[in-house]
Amino acid sequence: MGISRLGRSNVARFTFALVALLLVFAVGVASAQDAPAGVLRIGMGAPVVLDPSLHTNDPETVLNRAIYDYLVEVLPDSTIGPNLATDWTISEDGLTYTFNLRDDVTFHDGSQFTAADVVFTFDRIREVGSPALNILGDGYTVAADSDFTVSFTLPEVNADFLYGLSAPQALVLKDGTTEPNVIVEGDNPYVNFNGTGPFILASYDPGAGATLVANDAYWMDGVQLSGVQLVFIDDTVAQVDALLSGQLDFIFKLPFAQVDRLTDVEGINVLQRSTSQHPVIRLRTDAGHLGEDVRVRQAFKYATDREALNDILLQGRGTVGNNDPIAPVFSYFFDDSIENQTYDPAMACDLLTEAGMNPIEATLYVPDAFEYADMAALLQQQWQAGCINVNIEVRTEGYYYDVSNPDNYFDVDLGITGWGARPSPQILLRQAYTESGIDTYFNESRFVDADLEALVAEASQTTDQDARRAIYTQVSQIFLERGPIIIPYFAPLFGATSGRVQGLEMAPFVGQSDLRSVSLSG
Amino acid sequence: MTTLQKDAATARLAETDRGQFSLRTIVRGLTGRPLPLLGTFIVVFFILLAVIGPQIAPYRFDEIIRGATRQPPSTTYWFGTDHLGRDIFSRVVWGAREIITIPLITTILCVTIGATIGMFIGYVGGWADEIIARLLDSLLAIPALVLAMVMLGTIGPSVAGIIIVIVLLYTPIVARVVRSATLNLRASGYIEAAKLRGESTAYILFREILPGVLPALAVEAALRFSYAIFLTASLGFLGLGVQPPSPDWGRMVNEARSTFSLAPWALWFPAGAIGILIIGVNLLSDGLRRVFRREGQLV
Repeated sequence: MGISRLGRSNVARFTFALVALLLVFAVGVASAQDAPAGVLRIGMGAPVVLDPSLHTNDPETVLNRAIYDYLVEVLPDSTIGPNLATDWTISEDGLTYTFNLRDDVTFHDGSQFTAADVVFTFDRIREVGSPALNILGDGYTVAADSDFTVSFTLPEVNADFLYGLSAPQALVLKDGTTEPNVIVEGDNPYVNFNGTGPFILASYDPGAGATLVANDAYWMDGVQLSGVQLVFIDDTVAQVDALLSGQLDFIFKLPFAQVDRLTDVEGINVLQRSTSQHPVIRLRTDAGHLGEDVRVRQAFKYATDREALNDILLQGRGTVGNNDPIAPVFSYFFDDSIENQTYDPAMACDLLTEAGMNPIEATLYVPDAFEYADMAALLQQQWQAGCINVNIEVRTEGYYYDVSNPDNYFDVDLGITGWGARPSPQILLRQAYTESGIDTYFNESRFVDADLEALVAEASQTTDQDARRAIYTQVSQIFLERGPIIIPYFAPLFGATSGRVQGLEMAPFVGQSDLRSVSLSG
Repeated sequence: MTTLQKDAATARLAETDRGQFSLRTIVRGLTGRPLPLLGTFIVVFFILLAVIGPQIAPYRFDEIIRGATRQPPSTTYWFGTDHLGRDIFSRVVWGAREIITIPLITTILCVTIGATIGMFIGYVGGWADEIIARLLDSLLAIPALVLAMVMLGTIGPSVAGIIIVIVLLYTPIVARVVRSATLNLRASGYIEAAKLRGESTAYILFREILPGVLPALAVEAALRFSYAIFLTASLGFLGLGVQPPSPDWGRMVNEARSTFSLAPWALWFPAGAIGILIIGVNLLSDGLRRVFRREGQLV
């Protein structure tokens, strides 16, 4: 008999091995295919700063956006829409904003949401020095006119104030919360994660992930997800692998190289979103530096083939705009009639000869992030034809963006830096291209232009959209003539979902994507 | 015994004790066995590639061919093209120069400095030996790659930086090996004879001891060369090596990593070249060790 020849112990071993193999296979299949019903699984890096008023990056925003609500929010078309505030009025002098609040909203602990919570939130934002102040300014006062009416008073007109109220950190907290998002000992460790948002935190493991369940008492109808599972995976390649193997439903901020992996894969949808995020190739313009002479700035522009950079680096998926931060995605403010310098290396050489700087020998510094090192290699070739010879120095991101290091992004003559998406061009113009931006390490080109300063100041106080558009056209003209920057393209944002995800639209600042409209099939 | 007779006697003694080996012995030893022969062939091939590579490469290493991104290997592009449309064969061929040159320079420096320090402390002994040997040991206690990353992260990646880092990392190892060999030779008759003749320390170190430690030094140099290649490629992979668009093989591997599923050939060839070169140098080093051991120059 076969069994007797094999021996009982061998049969037992064989059976055990077979069962173990089947179990492993079954567990593998289950984990890959039995996605929890109604639970959206998002793969992302681990949050570090949890405080809703202080967090900065997308994973931190995803977590907070699920738990808390904004007073108003930026809609997919970049306009401002209601949220906890149903409507608002702006006084004629543009200094007072009055909001009517919803009266049917409760926090996760069951308490009523009132104007006092809004006052507490925005007082705290100022006290802790939240990044939201970059748009809000720190001179506002906020007061409750009634239980469900709140007013903000500004020291001067701020045309972007509503964008400030929808900044990632402007999430509304419960009045009196002393330690928001701090895990405590005891039966209810997540008591400090007390928002009005669509999801309630059920578990949080800093090294692994977080689980959120739907808030049954949520004020908005139509939230279809029964929960959200955040899976912390820092490596984007591993995120893609997890999506392909069916362990995730949504990943975002994909490197371009990974997008190609997912394109045309059955059961995977690649999402693309135009944004205002862009690399900047910039020259320092202060005395004694490379870009002091306007002709040199112009030469760099003529020596740069932006279309080729977009074609090669992003396979044409980026948007080539003007050489200024008013991105095409700000459709109403973007002036497509500006005639930018086209690739003309001979013109670049002529300009440099005229400036007595032919040829230029320089070093191009670049962070080891995104496609920037490749961009530097392409620029080196293009510029060579335009009488500009550069050595490339690649620095790790942490080193490059630390101003205490030599050759940091702020000090070098010629460098590439990355700029993230902003809800309004005004923010970038004020931060990076006015004199006040030098002290805050944003104006890395040290570009100080009296006309530009006046126009940016005027735009910040102009609430009329047509008048503001006219101002921005003049701003673009200044950048065209004497701006020290080249913006090769405005990069799209890429994400991907599994086939069962429906209704997910990525926001330009992807952490703010609204999950309330998302549903899952199957 | 006159002074002249004494010198002649010590000279004869030195001749009998001193290590002797000839180039012919080494060549015969390396070519007489298949594996050392293969190692020698590989190393010579890559050195030739480094010398004449740019002449045989169909493109410059940084030449971008528009419309030819991620082309698979073909008769037009033997190793395919990368994500920017650069010919990988040309980049690998051009890159041979850097992957050979930097480790070669560092090895020469390591061997020169390390041998001098090792012979000196081994010969003079005493407190100088104690202090310097412990200092070298403390340097060896730090993991090489970590120290390299910290140093290059501080001073910034550059060819000079890489050379300085590798020399600092590998000199103590060479010094320690040479010190051990010197300790064995210190009590030899020909060294004693040289001392009796009143020769200077420098003379004794470089004319009397150096020939005796050469076999160990040669094997160690080959090993250091192989490790230097590996470290140079590793630093390139980590973005701390030679700056782009230089065809650094390590950086090429790193660039190809994220697109491996789309263009695996962009990773195969530079990674394969690194592997083959290191195997070749190791086979050569192993062959040298066998030759010297057979000739009684190494234990």
